[in-house]
Amino acid sequence: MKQIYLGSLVFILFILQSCTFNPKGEEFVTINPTGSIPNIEINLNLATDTIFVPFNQKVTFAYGLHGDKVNWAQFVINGVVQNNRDFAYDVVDYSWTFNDAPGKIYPMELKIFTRSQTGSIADKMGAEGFLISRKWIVKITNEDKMASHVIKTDFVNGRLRVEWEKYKGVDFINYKLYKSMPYGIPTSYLLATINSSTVTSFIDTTYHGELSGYYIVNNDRYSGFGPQIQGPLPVIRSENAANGDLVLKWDKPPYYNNLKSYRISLKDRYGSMQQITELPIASGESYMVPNPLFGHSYEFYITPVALSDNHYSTPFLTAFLSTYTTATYGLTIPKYTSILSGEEPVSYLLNDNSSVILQFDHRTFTTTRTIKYKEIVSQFFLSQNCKYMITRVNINQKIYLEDLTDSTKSKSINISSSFPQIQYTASVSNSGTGIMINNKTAVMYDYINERKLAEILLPGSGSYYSKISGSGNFFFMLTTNSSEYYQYKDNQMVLLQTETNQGIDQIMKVEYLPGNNEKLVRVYNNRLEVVDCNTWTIEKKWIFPAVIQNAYNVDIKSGKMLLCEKTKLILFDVMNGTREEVATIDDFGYMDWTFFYKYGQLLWGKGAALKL
Amino acid sequence: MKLNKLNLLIAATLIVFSTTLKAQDFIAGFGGGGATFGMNSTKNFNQTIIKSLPFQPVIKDNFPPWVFSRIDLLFFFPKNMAFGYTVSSTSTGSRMTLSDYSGKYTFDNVQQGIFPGIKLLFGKNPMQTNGMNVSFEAGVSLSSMKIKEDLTLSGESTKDESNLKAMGIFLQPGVNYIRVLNAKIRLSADLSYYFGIEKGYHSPGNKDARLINPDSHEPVKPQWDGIRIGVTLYYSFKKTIK
Repeated sequence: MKQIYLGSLVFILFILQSCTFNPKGEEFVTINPTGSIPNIEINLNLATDTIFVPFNQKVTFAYGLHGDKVNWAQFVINGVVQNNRDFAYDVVDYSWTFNDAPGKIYPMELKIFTRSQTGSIADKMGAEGFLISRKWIVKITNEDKMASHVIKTDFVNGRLRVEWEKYKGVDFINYKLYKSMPYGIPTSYLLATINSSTVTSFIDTTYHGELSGYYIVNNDRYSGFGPQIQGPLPVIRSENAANGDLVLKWDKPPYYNNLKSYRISLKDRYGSMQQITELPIASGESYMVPNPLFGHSYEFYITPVALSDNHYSTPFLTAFLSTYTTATYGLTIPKYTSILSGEEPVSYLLNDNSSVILQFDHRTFTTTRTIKYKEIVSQFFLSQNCKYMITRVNINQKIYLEDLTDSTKSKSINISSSFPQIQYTASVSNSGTGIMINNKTAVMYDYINERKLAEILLPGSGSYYSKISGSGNFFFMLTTNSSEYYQYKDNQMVLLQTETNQGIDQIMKVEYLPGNNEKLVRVYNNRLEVVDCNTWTIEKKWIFPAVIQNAYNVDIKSGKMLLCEKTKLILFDVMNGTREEVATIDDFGYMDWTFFYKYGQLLWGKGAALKL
Repeated sequence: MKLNKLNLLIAATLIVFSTTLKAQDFIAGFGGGGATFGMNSTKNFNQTIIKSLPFQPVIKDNFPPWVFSRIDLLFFFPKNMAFGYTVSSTSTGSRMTLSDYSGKYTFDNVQQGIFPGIKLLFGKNPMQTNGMNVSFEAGVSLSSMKIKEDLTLSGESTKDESNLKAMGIFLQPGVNYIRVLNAKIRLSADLSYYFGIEKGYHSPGNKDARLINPDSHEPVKPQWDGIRIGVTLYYSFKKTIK
C-alpha cells in the first residue's frame, strides 16, 4: 500500500505542474528610421539674439510645449540647468530677478528634445527624437536701455511706413506707437498697438506731410524716441502753354494714398486765401487756371488734403502744409519798366536800375540785340523810323546818341556846356533832333551835330512829359497846368495850342502818326481826338462809351491804341473808332503803365505777353 | 517541476481520505482533455492596457482553448451512484506584443486554475457496466494570474511582473460514457460545461487590493467558463470486482 500512496502523490504533482500555457508570438513592424524634425517654433517672445534684462526686475522666460511633438525642454543659464519639465506639462519656464550690475552677461540656452516622427516605439515613448538648441546672450541693463527706438521712416505704396527696433527684453506685451504733431490737435496720440514682438513696422494711413514725430512705448513702461519727419510737400510750379495758357503743375507726393484731394488757392490783393478748386487725387498733378487775368501777379498755393482726420485746423493746414508759386498769364518775355517802339516790328525794353536796353523782335518773339552802358539808364527815347535812340544815364548832363543802323556813329554827348541842368528830353525825331527842357526853357537840339536849333521860354512850369513827331516839326509838352502843342518851323518854336490839363481835358496820352500829313492822336478820359498837324484841325473825335482808366500806346503801323476801360484792355482804332476787347485785367491793373500793344501782341512789363 | 503548498495539501487530503476509506471499494482515475474559456473580463483588461499605451501592440494569443488534466477518486455507493473527489487544473493566457528597429514590447498574461471538488456520477451501475452516466462536479476554483510586461528600447530592458490570486466556486454538469476494459480498468469519455462564480484577482495576502479595470471600474476576474471534453482512465481498487 505504501507504494500505491507514494506513486499516487508523485503522479498527482506531475499532473498538476505539466502542460502550463506559455504565450507565444511576435509582431515586427518595418519602419523607416530616418524621421523628420517637427516644425517647432521657439516662441519665447525674444526677438533678438541678445536679450536685455532690466536690472533688479523679475523676468520670466517661458516656452510653451506643443504636446505630442516635443518630449521635453529645459533652460540652461550659465551652464546650469535651471528647469526641466517633460512633455506631460504644457510649459517650461524660468523666472528670476537679476541683481547683478548692469553690463553683466549670461549665456542662455534653450534645449528642446522633439519627437522623431518615425512612429517607432521609441518615438512614441518619447525616447527618440531630435535635440534642438537655441542660444541667446542675456545682458543685464538699466531700464532706460529697454526702450525700442524708431529707426526709419520711408514711403511704401503711397503711404508712410515707420520702423522701429525689436524689443530687446523678455515678457513682451506690446508695442504702442505714438504720433506727435506740434501743431496738431491733440499734439500727441496713440496711433497703433502691436501685440507681436516680431512686427516692427507700421503703415501710417494718416500722414500727409505734416511735421510728425513717432515714438514707441514698450509694455506701457519703456518709452523710446524717434526722428521727426515732415513733407515732402508737393511743390507747385507754373508753366505757360504754347498759347500762353497758365498751367499749374506739381509732383505727386510719396504719401499719395493718404490723400483725398489737392486744394488750389490763391492769395488775393488783401492777403487772404481764396480757394479756386479742390482736385481729387485721381485727377492728376496739373491744373489749367481758368480765365486768368493778364497783367496780374498771381500767388498760387497747393495744399494736400488728407483722407482721414488730420488733427489740423484749416488755418494750420494751409499755413504748414502748402507750397506756393508766383505766376503770370501769358508767354514769357523780358521784364521792363519802359518800352518804346516805332515803325519797325521791334520794341526796345528797359528795366528798372538797368544799364542794358533790349531790342525785342516781335516777329521772332525773341531778344535780338542788347545795348549796354556803363551807367544806369534813367530814360531813353526812340525815333519813329527806329534809327536814333537818345539815352539818359544817371550821370547828370550826359546822354548818348545811338545810331541804330550804324553803331559807328553812336556817341555820348556832354551837354553841360551847351545846356545846363537839363531835366527832361522830349524823345527824338527821325532826323536826330529832339527837345531838351529845364524848368524854364525848351530847346530844339540837334543831337547829331550837337547844336541848339531853337529855344523858347516855357509859359508854364514843371514840364514832365513831352513828345516830338517823327519829322521833328511838331512836339507836345505837358506841364503842371496845361497841355501845349508846338510847331518847329524856320528855326522857330511856335505855340499852336494850349489846353488846361484838368477835368475832361486832362490829357492821358499823346502820339504822332507818321505820314505826309502828320497827325496827332490825343486821348482824354472820355474821348479821343485825331488832329491834323498841318492844319491843326480835329479830324476825328471819338467819345468813349465809358470813362477810360488809362491809355498806354498807339501802334503806329495798325493805328490802334491800347486803352483800359475798368478791367478790360481795349484796342481802339483811332481812325475808324472801332473798339475790341482783348484781355481782362484785375481791378487795379489799369494803374500799371507797362501794358503795350505792338504787332498783334499784348505785352506787360512784369514779363508776360499774349499773341492776339 | 515545482512543489508548492497547495499541491501538497491536496495530495495529503487524498492520501488521508484513501487511507481512511481504504476498507471501501474505490476507483481512481486520471484524465485530461481540452477546455475552452470565456475570459471576457481579462480580455477587456488587455484592451484597457492597449489604450493606455502610446503605440498599438498586436494580440498574438488571446486566451485560447487549452488542455486540462484531472484526477478522480470515486467510491461506489448504491448501484446507481458513485461519489468521490476530483481535482483538475488547466491554464491559458494572452500575449500583446509589438517590435520594430527601436525596441520591443511584450505583455504576457498567464492564468492557471486548480479546481478541487466533489464529483457525483448517476447511472446504471456507473463504473460497473458499460453505459452513459450523468456527472456533476462542484468545488472551489483557485486561480492565479501572472503578468509580465517587458519594454526594451535600444537594448535596455524594463520589466515588470505581477502575481495575483483569485478564488471562486464552480459547477460542472456533464455526461460521460464509461467502458469497462477489464476487471481493473475503465475508460470514460467525458463531456461537461464549466460554470464559475469568481470575485476577482487580488494581491496575494491582501484580498482588499483588487485588480480593477480602470475603464470599466469592474474587478478583473478569471472566467474559466466553457466546455470540457476529454477522457479519463480509471483503475479499480475493488478486489471483488469481476
